[in-house]
Amino acid sequence: MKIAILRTSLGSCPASNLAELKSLLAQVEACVDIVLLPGECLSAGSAPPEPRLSAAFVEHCRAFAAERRCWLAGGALKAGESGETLRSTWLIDRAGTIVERWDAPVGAEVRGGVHFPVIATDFGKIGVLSDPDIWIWEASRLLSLKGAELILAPGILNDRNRDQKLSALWGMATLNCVGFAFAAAASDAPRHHGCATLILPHAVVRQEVGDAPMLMCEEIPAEHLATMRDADLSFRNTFWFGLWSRRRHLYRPLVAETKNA
Amino acid sequence: MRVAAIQTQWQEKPEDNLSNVLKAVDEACARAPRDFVILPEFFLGPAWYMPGQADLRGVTDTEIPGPAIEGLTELARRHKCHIICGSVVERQDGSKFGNTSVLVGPDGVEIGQTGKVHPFANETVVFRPVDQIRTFDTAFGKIAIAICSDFWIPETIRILALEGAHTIFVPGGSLRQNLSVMINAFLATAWLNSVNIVYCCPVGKITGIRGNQMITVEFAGTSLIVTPDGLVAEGPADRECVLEADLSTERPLALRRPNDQDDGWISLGARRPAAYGGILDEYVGLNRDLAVEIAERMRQTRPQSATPSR
Repeated sequence: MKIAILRTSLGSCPASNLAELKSLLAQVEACVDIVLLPGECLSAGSAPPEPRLSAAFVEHCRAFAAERRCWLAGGALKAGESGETLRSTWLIDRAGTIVERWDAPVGAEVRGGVHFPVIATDFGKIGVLSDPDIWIWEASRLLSLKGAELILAPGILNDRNRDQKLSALWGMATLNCVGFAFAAAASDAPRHHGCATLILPHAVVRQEVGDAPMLMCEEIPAEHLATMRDADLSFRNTFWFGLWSRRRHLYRPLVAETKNA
Repeated sequence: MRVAAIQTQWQEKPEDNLSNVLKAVDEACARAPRDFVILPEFFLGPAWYMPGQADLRGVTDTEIPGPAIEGLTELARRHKCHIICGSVVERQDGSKFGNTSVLVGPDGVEIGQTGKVHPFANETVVFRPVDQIRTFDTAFGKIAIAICSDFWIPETIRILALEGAHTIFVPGGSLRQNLSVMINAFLATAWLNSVNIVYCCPVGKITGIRGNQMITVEFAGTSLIVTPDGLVAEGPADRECVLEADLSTERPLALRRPNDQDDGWISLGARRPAAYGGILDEYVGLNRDLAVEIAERMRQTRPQSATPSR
C-alpha cells in the first residue's frame, strides 16, 4: 500500500497556498493508494479563507482523488455559520466521493471526542483523526479496537511540545498496534512546524520535520499491519498484546464523566 | 520526592537473589536519603512457569508475608523510606499464583498490595489476576503501581492518571527486542497522561522450550525514570545499577491544567468520556482462545528443532 504525505508551507495568502498545494499534488506518482494532506491546508491559526476558495480546494481534492483513483484525507479552516472558526476534515474515496466530513471548533474551548470514523478500503481498514483528538489517546485506541490498521492524521504541529508530540505519535502507534500517518503545514504566524511522518508500531518509517514543502512517498507491505496485530504466541512479536489481553470490565472509569483530570 | 530504582541482576544461584537485593537496597539507602525505592519484577529470580524454569517452583516464588517482604519491611523502617517490593510470584491458595507487589511505608507498615491485572504469556494459565486498578495514598500524594504487562495495556496508566496518581511505579522486565520502542513508549505515556513513571527491571537470561522451540529470553535491564518533560535516567541493559531522581509531585498535576505554554493538558483535559463507550467493547480481531493455546504450548516439552531460536 503506497502512501504520499504532503508537508506544505503556508504564506499569508490562501490563494497562493492553494496554488502551491496543487503544484505539490501534481508531483504525486500515479500508483499511490492514499494521499494525506495537512490539517490546515489554506491558512493557519484562526483565519479561515473565503468560502469560495475553500469550496474550490475541496473540489480540486475530489477531482484529484477520482483522477488518480486514490484515497485522500486533509483539512482546512473554515468559517462557521455564527462566524466562529472551525477546522474541517474530510476523507475522499477513490471515486472522488467525500465519505467522511466533520467540523471541530478551534480555540481555547477545544474539546475532543468529535468523530472517529473507521472506513473499510480495498487494502484494509483505516481511521481518520483531526486535532485535538490526534493527541488524546482514547481516540486512536478506539480506532484500533474497531479494526483500523492505519490512522490518517491531517494535523497541525505548533511550537509547543513538538518533540513530545512526535514521540507521542510513535508511542500511540506502539501501544495501539496501529500505523500512523501525520501531515502538518509550516507557517510563521502562528508558528507551526511542517511535518510528514509515517510510523509503524515497531519503528518510525520516515519523519521529515521542516519548513520547506516536500512530498514523502512510502510503501507499507501488504498484510504487514494485519500480521503484526495477530497474536504471536512465540512472542517474537509482542505488539498485539495490548489488543488481545484487555480486561474491559475494569475500564469503566474511562467513560465516567467525573473522572476527567 | 527522591526515588531510586534498583536494577538487580539474577544471581547464578537463585537462592542468593534475596540477599543480593537486600544488600543493594541497604547500600542505596545508606548512600543517600530516599523517599521511594522500587525493585524489579521477579527480583527473587525467574518465575518457575517461564520456559525451562520448572525446577524453580518453590525457590523463586514466595508466600506473602514471607522472608522477602519481611526483609524489605525492615529496611523500609531502618531507612525511613517507602519500598515498592518489585513484584514477586506469590504462592496463593490452591494451585494458583499471583504476580504481587507490596508497598511498604517508611514506618515499616504495609500500605497496600496490588497485583498484575493483565497476565502475560504463561501467566495466563497459572495466574489469578487482580481485578482492580488502584492508587495508593501516601505522604507524597497519590501514587500507583502497575506491573510490567499492565503498562502495555494503556487503559491501565490512563485510569491511574485519571484517579489522580502523579507518579506510577512499574516493576517490569525489558525484553531484549524492541528496547528503543519501549523507551519511546514510556516517554509518550508519561506525556500523554501527565505522570512521572519509574520503571525497574532485572538483568538475566533464561533458556527453555516455548511451544516446540528452544528459546532464550533476555531480561535486558534498561530501567527508566521519565517525566512528562522527558527522560531523566536510563539504566544499562546488561548490569546492575541504581537510577536516582528527585521528582516533582506537583508538576505532573500542574501540567494537567489548561495553559498556553504547554499542550500536555490536552490529552487529559480535552477528553470527552461520553464519546469513548467503544473502549468497553472487545477488539474486533479477537478470534482465538489464547489461554487454551498457551496451555497446550506449556505442555510441549520437547523441541522440534535442535537449533536454538529466540
